[in-house]
Amino acid sequence: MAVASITGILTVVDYDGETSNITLNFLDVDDALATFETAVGDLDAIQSSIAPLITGQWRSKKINATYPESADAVTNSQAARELKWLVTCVDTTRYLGLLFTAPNPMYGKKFSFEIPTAWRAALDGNDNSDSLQLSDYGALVAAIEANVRSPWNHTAALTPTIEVLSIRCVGRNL
Amino acid sequence: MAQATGQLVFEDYNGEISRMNVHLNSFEPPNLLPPNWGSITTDLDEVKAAINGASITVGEIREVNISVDLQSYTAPVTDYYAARESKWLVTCRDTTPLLASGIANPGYGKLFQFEIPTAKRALLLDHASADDEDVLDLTESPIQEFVATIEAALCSPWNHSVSLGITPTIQVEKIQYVGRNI
Repeated sequence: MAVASITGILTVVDYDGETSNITLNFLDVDDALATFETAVGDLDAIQSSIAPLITGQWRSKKINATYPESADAVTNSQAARELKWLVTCVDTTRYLGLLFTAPNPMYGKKFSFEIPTAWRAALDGNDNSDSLQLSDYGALVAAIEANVRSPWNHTAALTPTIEVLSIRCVGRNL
Repeated sequence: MAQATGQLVFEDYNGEISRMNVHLNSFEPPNLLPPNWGSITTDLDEVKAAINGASITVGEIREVNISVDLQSYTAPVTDYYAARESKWLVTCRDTTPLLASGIANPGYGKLFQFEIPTAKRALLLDHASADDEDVLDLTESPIQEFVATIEAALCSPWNHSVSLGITPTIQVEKIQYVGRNI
């Protein structure tokens, strides 16, 4: 990617358990200059300086990077956000630790995500199924399995693994 | 470790927006391990390229977002004056005249604000401005330290570029005690 605009979000909880956010703009991150870590340090510094001014407690600290993409017009009149590819995966990591002493409690659990504006014609020539034949989309499946992580198991140092089970065309209202 | 989440924002033919969310490798704290931000952005780039390469969508990807949950906290709230509706309203001004040599900053001189919840109102007892009892005196500790940190690290909504050679600057104008309903 290239240059991203950066937003930091500090969540504060009050005495009644209600939460509220502080949203802050930071200097852009240039991937080539490895400045993301600088933004993290800036957010830490601001958090420390805010602490004496508040009576609540911190609940979470988050940072968002936004990279602008295509500005091209959408030309295919069948592009509808309600038509999705529902990608179902399974967590295939047996152990969380390197010494095989900590079993992954989510081993074998399924999770899914959706890709909007599905090109339904990709199913042409398929059988009656609404699912893509994964063997025809080897590059896509390989990229997902190499880069996407399960919601429960994502420690980079341990190389968690997942497997794509199906990619199905579905309708969703968002 | 910090959970990283990737998001691709799609636009369809009618201009409606929808998002695809995936979990990515965790972001390693830069003070503990070699920074891996670059590999996280590359991972999401590869997923995006694979979706484009497979030609399974017909919309346009408008934005790529990566969120990192850096830390969660569990400390109980012990001060019963802590109310999220009680805020410090921080007003700042964009003080960068030029975005680059010969390019005027359209946000120069403009004000922007953000709010800090669960304001410690008791600070006004000792640190109120001489002109307004709801406003903090920016020259007194610990407000002075807060102002210095904000001015060094924050950017205005209009001017936050790192690549144009001019470091954006802002100035804290006022920190006022206010009530808000969210």
